[in-house]
Amino acid sequence: MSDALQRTRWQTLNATPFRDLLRGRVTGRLDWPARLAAAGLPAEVASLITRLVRRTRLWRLERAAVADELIAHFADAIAAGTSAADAVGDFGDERAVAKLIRRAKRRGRPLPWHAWVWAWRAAEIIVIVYGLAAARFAVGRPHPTVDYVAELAAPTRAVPEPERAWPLWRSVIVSCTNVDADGRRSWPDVVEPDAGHRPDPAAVGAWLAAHADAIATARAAAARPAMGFVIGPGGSADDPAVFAGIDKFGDDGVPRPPRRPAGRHRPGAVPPPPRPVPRDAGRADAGAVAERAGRPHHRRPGAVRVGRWQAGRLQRRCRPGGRRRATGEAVARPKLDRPVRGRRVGRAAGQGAARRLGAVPAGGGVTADSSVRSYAVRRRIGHEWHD
Amino acid sequence: MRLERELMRGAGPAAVLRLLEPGERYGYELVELLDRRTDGVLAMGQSTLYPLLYNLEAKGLVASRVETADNGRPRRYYRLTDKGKRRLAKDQKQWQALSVAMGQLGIAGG
Repeated sequence: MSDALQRTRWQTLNATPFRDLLRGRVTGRLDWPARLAAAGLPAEVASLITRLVRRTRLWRLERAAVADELIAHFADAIAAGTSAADAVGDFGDERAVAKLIRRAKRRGRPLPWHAWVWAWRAAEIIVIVYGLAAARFAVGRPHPTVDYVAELAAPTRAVPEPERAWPLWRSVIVSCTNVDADGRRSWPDVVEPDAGHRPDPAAVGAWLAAHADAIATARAAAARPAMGFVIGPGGSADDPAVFAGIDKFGDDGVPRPPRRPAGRHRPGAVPPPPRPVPRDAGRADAGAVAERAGRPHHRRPGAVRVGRWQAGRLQRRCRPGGRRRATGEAVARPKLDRPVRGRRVGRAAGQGAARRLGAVPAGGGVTADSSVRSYAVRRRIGHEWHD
Repeated sequence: MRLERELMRGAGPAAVLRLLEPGERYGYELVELLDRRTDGVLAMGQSTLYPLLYNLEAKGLVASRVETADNGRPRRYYRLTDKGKRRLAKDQKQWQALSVAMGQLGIAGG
């Protein structure tokens, strides 16, 4: 009892649940060791209760409730005439009891706690599964057991070689196409470039005459019953000379796409797919823009580069005057010192940037147009740009 | 005679619910009643009783409140909830059916 009474106010406050403090009560009801000492139970019983309650590893309030219940139980048993040794002996395995009590008490906790626990478990499982999958992905190597290329080529290989058209087609391709320095093969350009992509009859006739044997071979190939093209890794492993550029696999095991022949886009050909544009792609040099527009190159060390959209605007604004090619109509050079729309922000910075870009004469007294102003604003907020 | 653990696991909750049917009881009282009224067959120590009571409380079959006893110590009293009463009625029917079936097999009853 004296031990319980000697508790300081701070210890009592520390042993008071928060909910009691909110109600203005300093109860100290979490201080079950003090109540156990005050109960006057025999030492072995008190020791058993202490060990058991600590083994449960429950919340403080739950531990206090369990301790109070056990204190009352043992006190009743001893008051009923049971000896301390019998009470302790009849108790059983304290570790198993602590486990059962812990399990039962946790089951009775509020629903948000259960939701939190299950969320954590789910997150742990996800992390573990992800880690295992990542490790397997990083360490493992594919072990293909089926040669699908061979399976696909099997019907073609079953065709007798004299019935295969591909050997003839191959000779036609080899004899009619050109090979560049990189080993890439392309068909000769017999289309006159400046005539609206219409074939030049004279050039086509000459080419056909020069390749009469190849055309006869092509007709013979067309007469054969089967194509007989045996596929292989990279398209055709047997014909790297014909399919230069696709005869190799990349390091990642994926076949490399065929390289397109250099030169202009052929009429009727499928246009190339749009390429993904990197974030800083299309930043044009202002000097280059001015140069293309026929203006003096104003770039100097420290000159800025602008974005593609801004470069387009500058290019239009720097365009020299002249006549329209189609109609002959006179076109005046766009005025650079017109007032801008919208709020006049970044005026000084915009003017400076515009002068550096060569878009505005020095002392022009202009306000920043939207593109230059945009540049100035981006510069102010620390947006990435190139010097 | 003491029941084996598996049998006790099924019989224990029903026995405790039945003892709580008349009114509130505390832990030691339940231990004593179980021992006395079943001639020790369903006697369970505190190591079995308290986890069982906490489980029943977590399932909402019993509710508890703390009250200061005559000796000045706090004591937790348990009572049946409505859900516990329904569960007890269901358990009684099942145990009666089981008892009849076991009697027909010559295992229980006369």
